[in-house]
Amino acid sequence: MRTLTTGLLLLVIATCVGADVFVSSEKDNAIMVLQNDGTFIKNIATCKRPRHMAWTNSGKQIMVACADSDQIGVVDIASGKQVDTLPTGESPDMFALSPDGKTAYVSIEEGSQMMAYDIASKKPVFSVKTGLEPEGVLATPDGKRVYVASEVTNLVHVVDVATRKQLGLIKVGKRPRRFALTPDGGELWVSNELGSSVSIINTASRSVKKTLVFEIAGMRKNDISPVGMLITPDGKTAWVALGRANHVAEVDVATHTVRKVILTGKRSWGLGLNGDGSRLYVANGLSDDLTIVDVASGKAVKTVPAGRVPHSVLTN
Amino acid sequence: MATHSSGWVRLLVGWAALLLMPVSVWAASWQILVVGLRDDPRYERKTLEQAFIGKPTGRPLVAAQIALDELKDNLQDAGHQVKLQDLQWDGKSTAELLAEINKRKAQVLLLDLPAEQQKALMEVFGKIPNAPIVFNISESSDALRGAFCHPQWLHTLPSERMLADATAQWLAARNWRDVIVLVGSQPQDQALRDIWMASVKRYGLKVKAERKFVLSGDPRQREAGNPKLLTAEPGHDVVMVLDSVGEFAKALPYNTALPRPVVGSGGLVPLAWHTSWDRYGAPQLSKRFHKLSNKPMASQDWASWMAVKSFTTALDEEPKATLAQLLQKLRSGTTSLDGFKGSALSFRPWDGQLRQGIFMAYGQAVAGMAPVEGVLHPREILDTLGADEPDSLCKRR
Repeated sequence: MRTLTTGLLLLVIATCVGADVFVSSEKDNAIMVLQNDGTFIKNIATCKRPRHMAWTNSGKQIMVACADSDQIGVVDIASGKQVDTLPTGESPDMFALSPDGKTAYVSIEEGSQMMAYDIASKKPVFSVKTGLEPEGVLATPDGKRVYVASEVTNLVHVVDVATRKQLGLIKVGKRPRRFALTPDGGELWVSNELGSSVSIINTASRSVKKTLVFEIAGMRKNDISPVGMLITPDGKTAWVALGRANHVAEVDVATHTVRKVILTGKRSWGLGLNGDGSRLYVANGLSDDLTIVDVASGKAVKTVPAGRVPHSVLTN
Repeated sequence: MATHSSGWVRLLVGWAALLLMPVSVWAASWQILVVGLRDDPRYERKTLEQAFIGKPTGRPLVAAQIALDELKDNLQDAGHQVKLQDLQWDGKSTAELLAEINKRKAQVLLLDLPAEQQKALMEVFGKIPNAPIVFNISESSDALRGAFCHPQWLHTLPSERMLADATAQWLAARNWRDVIVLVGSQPQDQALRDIWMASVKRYGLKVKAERKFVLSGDPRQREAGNPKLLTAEPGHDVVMVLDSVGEFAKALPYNTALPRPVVGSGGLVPLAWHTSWDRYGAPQLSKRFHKLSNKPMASQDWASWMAVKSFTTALDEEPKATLAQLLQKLRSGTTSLDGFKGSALSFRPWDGQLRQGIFMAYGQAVAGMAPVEGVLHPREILDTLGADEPDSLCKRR
């Protein structure tokens, strides 16, 4: 009995304290669990082609969109198992959860729509037609709006949750992929993979107030293909993964200017920041690894293997 | 906006009629016309069944429709109606074809025609006002981009030289430099040979031996018909086969004297599109195409899709532009286009060729993409494939 308790205790320590970084690996059908220094702990088997992830159930579980099994998987951290699935439309890509955690807004590539699902009953609640190949989804913290980007039509769809209707369209750069929202909700950032830029949208006027084009000395514009993005909780810094430019950019949110760029692996896209904001984790889709960046010094301190086609990163 | 099907419009024949139209009417209504041959030997049942790699696998209309649907809502919101029509010509009278194009008020043409007929049409378009924007979606001949180039003419299919350069880069990057070259006996094979030899030179490959092959089981011709005898030369790295028909090339891999890879028209083949490429959104496009056509998307389908996509992208970005302005926007290379190949594509201002990456494919798989890593260019890496500005023979820019 005592051994069992000790064993359990050790297990709890191993899973809760050690396990800090979670990386979805598209071709492994798994979420990799790593220590915060990049040391591999284990793989958790998921549904097929896991991509975007989000915390749920107060950080006890991860929801992960699985493009090839038309599901969102629910992975329990403590047991290290996928414990539930939510059926979705064909080929779910990105998703966002409502602030109360009850609704999942999912971009469904096939059929070009954003579907809203009630998580408890696993039933679709409503859908909104989008342009072709919807990608990034963002639900505002006030629960009122959902933004969806359409890669092919270069549009951001603004959806009103109350009326379940599209409020408007915003034309952004080429091949818009992901979103980040400033903590005050005033600015919505959209990464344009083929525009080598981020469109910064004024959410009140629903218009693009600035297009931030990335340039790196000695690098061709065409190789700069921004995808993953995040804004720090203090609203001061945005991190943008520059894709095939193999760099991440640290951007000053107030002035919309790039502070510095940091070398990563190949096709950097998925980003995650640890709890105190001291470390940035960068998933590199072409070199199948994860770069750990020390934020204070602005240097990549380590790069570790991360399965086959690592996509998204979550941190504790 | 009103359509002009009735009354006086019909009586006006010739391109001058277009000049008389109020501009606003034309800005809102656009006709894209895909022109093919009624009895095109490339689409005969037997030819399609043979399925030689790199050849078209069906008519290009479906792919064009998919591209149009992509931006349809955007264009409708901006007040544009874009329609797609299909015309299968008997290939005889250019004048009749022109009359038909005119009757259908086509402002954008997708030509799925042999090089000679495309050239003849472009001759006419050089002499009339308000000629359409013309996309070549089916011919890879470099002459169409070079000596016979035309300011109205855009090419979405890669030129032969781009395909040859892609292959030569691939070999150079691996240091597989010593090449046996096998050339077919058709007149087109000689043209292929000349272009591929320029790439061989550009990327520093060495020709260990060059031989003509014939398709024959005749023992008296065995020196030219037997793959083993043709490839027995010691000390080569690869066999490059240049075969405009494709039958000999298809059967060459694994039939060589030595265990050496085959490249060119068989074995590892350069293509504008291949459905097994799984990055940059490519699978989504291939999937959409397969759903509608029940066949894998081929290079020529991609070129057709890309042509419509180029036009609609330009119109989406400049909804108030005239036809001439849209042509200029594309032809100047300032419009970046999403070809689902990972980087933004654009037309080369010096010859109207769409710059693009090339897939190196064999059978069911893609080995990789050119430009290969390590190849350098001072301005645009995609211009390491095909005629770069200083090499271009195009004088009518």
